[in-house]
Amino acid sequence: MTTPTKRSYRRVGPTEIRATHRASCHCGAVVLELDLPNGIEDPRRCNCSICRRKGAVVAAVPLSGLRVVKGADVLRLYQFNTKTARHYFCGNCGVYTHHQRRVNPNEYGFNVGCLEGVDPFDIPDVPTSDGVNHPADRHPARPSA
Amino acid sequence: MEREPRTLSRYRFAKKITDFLICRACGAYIGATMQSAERSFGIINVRMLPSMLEHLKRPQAMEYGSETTADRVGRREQRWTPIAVA
Repeated sequence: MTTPTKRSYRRVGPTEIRATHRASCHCGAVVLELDLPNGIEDPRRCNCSICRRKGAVVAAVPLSGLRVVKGADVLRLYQFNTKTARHYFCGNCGVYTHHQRRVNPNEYGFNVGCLEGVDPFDIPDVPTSDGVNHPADRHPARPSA
Repeated sequence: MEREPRTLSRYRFAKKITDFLICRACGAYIGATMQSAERSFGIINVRMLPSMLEHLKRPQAMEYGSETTADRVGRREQRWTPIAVA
């Protein structure tokens, strides 16, 4: 696990991150508009049970900083465990686009790989969050017999 | 594949020779299948096998964008796993 370091990226490879940047799923049915005035802030991976399967690099914006401009009817919602987080993906191509975060429900996490012109492999040394040990999943120790 | 549950979705794009298998419920990309002239082939997304991930080598990014359809089918016939489709 990598020690968290706050970083922001106003350019990834050849692509400048615009203050309002578009993102889309693979088939193009879903299009998002994201407010990224400071670029991509604090991108990371996560090792929780769903993120390890998706493998996406994720960054966050306030709820007001993400708008679904196309394909709201195609988006599917997946919830599990505490059912706090709301994970959205395209019902046609399956690509994860964004989720309302459990750790902070006032934010959306979004798939950096969905940003127009952005190849997440151009972001060096993306840290991994220890989502598998999320505080909300810790149970009080059982009394010993 | 022994049976195809209703939660399985197939996604095709570009050359349209591959079925990418997607879970309708959670969006997970499970694997892919392809039918060649001879038989069917498939791959599993190893991210669906979390207990195995720690035992695997660090993955390498590959670039197959310049392949022709014949190149792609030929490579997969060599490297993908033959499968039986029920």
